[in-house]
Amino acid sequence: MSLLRVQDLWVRYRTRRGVVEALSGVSLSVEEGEVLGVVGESGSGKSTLGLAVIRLLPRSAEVRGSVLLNGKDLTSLPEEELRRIRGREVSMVFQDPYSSLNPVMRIGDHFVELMMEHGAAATREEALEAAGELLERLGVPRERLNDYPHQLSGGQRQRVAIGLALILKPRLVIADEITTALDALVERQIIDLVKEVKREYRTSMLFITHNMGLVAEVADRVAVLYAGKLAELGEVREVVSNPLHPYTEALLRSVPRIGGSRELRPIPGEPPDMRNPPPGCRFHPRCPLATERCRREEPPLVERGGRLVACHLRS
Amino acid sequence: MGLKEHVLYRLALTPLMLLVLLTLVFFLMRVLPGDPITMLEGKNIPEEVLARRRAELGLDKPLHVQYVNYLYSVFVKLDLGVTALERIPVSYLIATRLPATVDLAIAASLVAIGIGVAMGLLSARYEESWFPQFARVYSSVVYSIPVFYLGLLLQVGLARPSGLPTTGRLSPVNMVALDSLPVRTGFVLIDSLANGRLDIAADYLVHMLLPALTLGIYLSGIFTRVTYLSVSDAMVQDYTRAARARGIREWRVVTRYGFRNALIPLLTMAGLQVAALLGGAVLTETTFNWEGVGLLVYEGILKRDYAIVQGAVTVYALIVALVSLVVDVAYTLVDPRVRY
Amino acid sequence: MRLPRGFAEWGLAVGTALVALFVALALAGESLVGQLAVSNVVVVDGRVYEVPPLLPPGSRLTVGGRELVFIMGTDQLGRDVFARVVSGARFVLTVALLSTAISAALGTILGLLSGYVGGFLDRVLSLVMDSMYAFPGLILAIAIAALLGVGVLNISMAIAVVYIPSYYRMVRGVVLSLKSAPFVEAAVIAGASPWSIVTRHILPNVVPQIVSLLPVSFADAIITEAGLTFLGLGIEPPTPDWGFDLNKGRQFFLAGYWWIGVFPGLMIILSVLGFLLVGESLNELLNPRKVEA
Repeated sequence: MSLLRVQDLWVRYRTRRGVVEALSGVSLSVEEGEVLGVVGESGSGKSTLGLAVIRLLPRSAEVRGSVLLNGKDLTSLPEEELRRIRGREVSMVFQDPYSSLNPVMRIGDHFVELMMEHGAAATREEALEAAGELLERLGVPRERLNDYPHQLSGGQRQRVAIGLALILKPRLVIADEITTALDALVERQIIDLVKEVKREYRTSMLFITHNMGLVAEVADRVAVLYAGKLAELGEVREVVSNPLHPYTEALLRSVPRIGGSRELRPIPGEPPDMRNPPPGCRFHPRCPLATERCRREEPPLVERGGRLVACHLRS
Repeated sequence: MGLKEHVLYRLALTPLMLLVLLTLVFFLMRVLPGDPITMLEGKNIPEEVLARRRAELGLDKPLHVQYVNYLYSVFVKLDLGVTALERIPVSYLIATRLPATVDLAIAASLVAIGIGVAMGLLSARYEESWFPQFARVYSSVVYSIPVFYLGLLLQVGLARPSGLPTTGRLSPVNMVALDSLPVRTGFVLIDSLANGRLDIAADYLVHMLLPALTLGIYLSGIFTRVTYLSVSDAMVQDYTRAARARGIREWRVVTRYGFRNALIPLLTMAGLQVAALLGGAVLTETTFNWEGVGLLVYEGILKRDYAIVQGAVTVYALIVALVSLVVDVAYTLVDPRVRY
Repeated sequence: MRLPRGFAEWGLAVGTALVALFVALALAGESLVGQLAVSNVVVVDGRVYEVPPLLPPGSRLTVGGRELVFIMGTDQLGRDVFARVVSGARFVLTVALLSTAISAALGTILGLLSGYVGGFLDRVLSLVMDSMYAFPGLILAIAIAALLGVGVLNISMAIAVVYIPSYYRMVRGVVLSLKSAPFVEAAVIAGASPWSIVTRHILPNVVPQIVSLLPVSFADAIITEAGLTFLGLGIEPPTPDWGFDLNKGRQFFLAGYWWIGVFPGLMIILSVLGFLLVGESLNELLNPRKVEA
C-alpha cells in the first residue's frame, strides 16, 4: 500500500470574479521513503495540491476526491482527528521562512508547544532538549532556541521550520517551494540538507517546486502539473533525460542545469486563465507541436514505458 | 534603538506633547471670543469692577506674559487657579475628584476590554457562524448610542427593577463613615479596605456597577471591532497556517498566534481610546452623579466657572500625555521586535 | 431589483434609507408638525388651549372640536414629543453639516500646507495636530463651546476643532506619498507653480479620501453635538434638540415617564447609525479586502 494516495482530486475556488478550477482530477501516490517531486509553473495547482493533502485550503475552496494517508481518508476525517495527524504523521514546510514562524514566540517555544500538544514530551525541558539536539543536526546552534524568529537569518529560519516539520518523525513531509524565498547560496545549503534528511530519516516527501533542476536533484519520481492536470509522471531520471510531454521539455529548457550547455529558453506564452481553461489539451495554446486534435480533444493520461503522460502526440 | 534609549526618548517627548496641549488650552481660553469674567457676571458689569477682576486674574497683562505665567503656575507651582465664587483652589477640587474618575475609568476599561476581547476572539474562532455578523451589528449600534442615553436606559431598565443605586458613589451613611476613617488616600476602595470596612467597599462597588457598565459598553464596540479585525488579520498570516499544519489546537492558534500578534494594533487602539474614555466619563459621571472630574466640569459649566473647566482640561492634557508614554513603553513588552 | 448581499450592501441600503429620512426631517420636519414642537399652546378658532404635560403616547385630546393625537405623548411642559423629535433633526444636522464642512476645509488646507511645504512648519503642525488628536475630543469641544456660548455657528465651531486633526493627518499622508510621484515630479520639472501643483495634481487625489471620511465624521459630529447639548451647551431653549431634551427630561424620564427620554434617544441612535453604516459600507465596497487565494 502506498503511504499517500491522492485519487481524482478536484479543487475549485469560488472568488468574486468567478470559479477558478485549481486541480482537475489529479491522481498520484507517494511510497514509503520516497520523494515525489511536484513541478509546474505558478498557477499549475501544485501548491493547492500540497495544501489539499494536509487540508489547509482556504474556506472558499471546494474539494472533491480523496486523499488517503496510510489508508485513512484525510478529506473526510473529523477536525480533531485530523489535528492529531497533522504534525505527527504529515507535516509541512512553507515557502517563506520570514513569515512562517510566530514573531512573538521564541524558537524554543515553537518546539515545546508542538511536542506538548502531541504528547511527545512530558516537560518543557525534555522538549527543549530534543529540539536542541535536532536543531544542531540541522545546522542551527542550540542557543537559538532562546531567540525570537526575527533574530535569525532566513536560512536559519527555514532550518527551524524543517526541524518543526521533522521533530515528531512524521511519515510524510510536504515541502512547498521551500527554497524560493532564499538566495542562491542558502538555497544550495537547504537542498543539501533535504538530501541529508532523505538519507538519514527515510521520510517520504512531497517536494513541490517550480524548479525542474531541484527536482532532478532530490526527487525519486516527478509529477509534472500543468493547469491543474497531470502532464507527465515517472522516474525522475527518465523524465529528465527523455521528457515525453512537450511541457516537460519546455520546463527542462527553462532551468539552468548543472553542467548543461543547453541554451536557456523561457516557456513562451502565459499559463491559462483557470476561470476558463482552454478546451482540448490545456497546453495547446503554448505548444509548438499542437495539432487540430489537441485543440479539440482532451488527451487522456496513459501509460507509456512505465510512465504516465497526457499528450496525443506521444501516446 | 535599545529599550533604554526608546524609553528615554519617549520621556523627553512627553513634556513636549504636554507643552503643546497646554499651549492649546491657553490660547483657546485667551484668543477665542468670550471672556471668563463677563461670562460669569454678565456683560454689563461696571468698568472698574471688570478691570479689578481682570487684574486679579492677571488678564490685564500682555498675552505672552500671561502665557509664561500660566505655564509657570501649572508646571512649577502646580497651581490651577481658584474657583470664581468660593475661591477654592481648583487643584484641590480636582485632587479630591480625580480618584473617582480613575476608579470609574479602570472599571469601565475592564468591562470594555472584557466584552470586546471576548466577542472579538469568538468572532475569529467561529468565523463561519452567525457570531461575527452579530458582533458587527453590536459594535455599530453601541458606537451609535450616546453614552448618557445608555446610562439613562440602564437606570430605568436595570436599576429600577433590581433596586441598584442610580446616583452617587456611596450611600449617605457610608459617606459620613468614610470621612471619619483614619487612613485616607481618596480612593474609596483602598481606604475602606485599609480600614477593614468591607461593607463600605461593597457599597462602593454596587454604586460603581452601573456607571462602569455604561461607560464600558459604550467603549466595548470599538474593542470588539478592532480585536476581531486584528485577530483575523493575524489568522491569515503564514505562521497561523503553519501552526495549523503542525496540528496546534484551534483555540491555541486563535489565542497564541492570532490574539498575541493582534496585541500590537490593539494596544495602539487602546491608547487612543483613552480620549474616548475620558470624554465618555464626563457624560457618564453627569448621568450618574458620580463625583469625579467629569462631573466637576459639568458643574463648572452650570456655574459658568471657567477656572474649573480650564483646570480640568489642563489635568486631562497631563493624563493624555502620560498615557501615551505608558502605551509606548508597553509596546516593548508585547513586541519582541521593538525590544531589541 | 435584487436584494442586497452581505453586510456592506445591507449596511448601505439601511444607512441610505436612514440618512434620507433624517435629511427629509431636517428639511421639512418643522413645517410638518407646526407650533407644538416649541409650545404647549394650541389656538383653535381664536381660542387658546393649553396642552397638559406628561400625556402618555397615543393620548387624544379634543380641543375646540378638533381632535389632537400625541403619538409619542407630551413632555414635562406639555409640548408634543413627536413634534419635538421630528423638528429636532434640523438643529443637529445643521450643526453636523457645518462642523464637518469647517473641519474638512481647515484640515485639508493645513494638511496640504504641512505636507507640501514640509520642514519646520510640518513638524510644528504635526505635533499640534497629534496632540489634539490624542486629546479627548468631547472635552475639547466642551471647553470651546463653553467659551463661545450658544448658537448654531458657535457649537459647530466647537465640534469642528475636534475633527480637524483627522482630516489633517489623512491629507498630509496623501500629499507626502504623492509628492515624489512621477507625475508630480514631472510637473515640478516642467516649471509648474506650487499652487498649480497642489490644486491640479494633488488635490484631485485627496478629494476621494476626504469624501470617504465624511459620513463617519458626520456621525461623530452628531454624537458630539448630542453630548454637548446634553450638558446644556450651545443651545437655547425652546429650540428642539434631542440631546438637550434628554437632559431637561431626565428627572421625568427616571420617574417613569419613559416617552420623554426614549424617543429623542432613539433619534440620536438612528441618525448616527445611518451615517455610520453609509460610511463603513461605502469604504468596504470601494476598498474590498483582497480576495482569498
